[in-house]
Amino acid sequence: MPSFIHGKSTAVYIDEFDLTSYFNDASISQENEVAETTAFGDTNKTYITGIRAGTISLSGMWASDTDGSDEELVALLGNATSPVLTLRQGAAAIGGGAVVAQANETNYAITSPVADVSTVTADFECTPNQVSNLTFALASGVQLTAGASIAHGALGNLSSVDNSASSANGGAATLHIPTNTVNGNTTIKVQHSANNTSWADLISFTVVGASTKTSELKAVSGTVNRYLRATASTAGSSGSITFMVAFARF
Amino acid sequence: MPKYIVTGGETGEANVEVNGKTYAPGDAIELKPNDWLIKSGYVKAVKPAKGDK
Repeated sequence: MPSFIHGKSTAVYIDEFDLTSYFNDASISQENEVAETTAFGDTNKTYITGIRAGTISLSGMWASDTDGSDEELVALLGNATSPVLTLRQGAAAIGGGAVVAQANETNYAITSPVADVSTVTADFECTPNQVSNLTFALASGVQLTAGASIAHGALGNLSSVDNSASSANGGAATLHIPTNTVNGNTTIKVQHSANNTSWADLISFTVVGASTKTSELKAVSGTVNRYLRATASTAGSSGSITFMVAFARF
Repeated sequence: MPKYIVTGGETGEANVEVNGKTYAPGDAIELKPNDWLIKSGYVKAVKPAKGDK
């Protein structure tokens, strides 16, 4: 029986910002161009596959808040550094779905009708950047955190996600930290395991400084074992941190 | 159980965790000979020193 999800629980992370509350529609599209090879004498048109691409489109409400939709979408347009995006599919839950991508903002529009709320739309063209085997320049994966705030003293190993089997072609992980009041460095990693008992670091994100909000996308090649989990530790003695980690296998 | 040294994997920086304890590259660890960490190269066997039995 299919497991449908409702779109109302979608979440939108762009760089170090959780912009979920500003948007009410998120669309992901993947396309693969074809080049026509029809020749004289053919009865049917023929094609060969060409270049593929992924696009993310967001729409929602305009707001001039600090770190809000307008401020961030304006800042990203034309930015030399491609932002890191994670779209949570469905409810926040370790093991739930997520799409990870790195994408350039190509369009930002504000609409202010006389009898309705001011709205925004933004389009992002995904780019593989350093992750050359990122098909369509985006990838579907799983949430390794529920994106909730965790106190400094409660950081540690989060629940594992069972993929039923290992995979051989590497993967990519995204990290978003929209809030952080921990007063020391925090280390966040993705670990993998073949038996859900002994673990090894798979991806180590750049160490997060005290009270630093940040984001990162990192990729690995080769074997990704059956089980994955996120783990975090800190040298800090106070505060809490909210971090979203998602991982997509290739 | 046989002793192994944590290699750090491909990056040379990967820690491993066994039975809730974290081991950094260079640390010694005891594992069953069929543990997946051995086959994956996260640890390597310790060569017995001369005189070891």
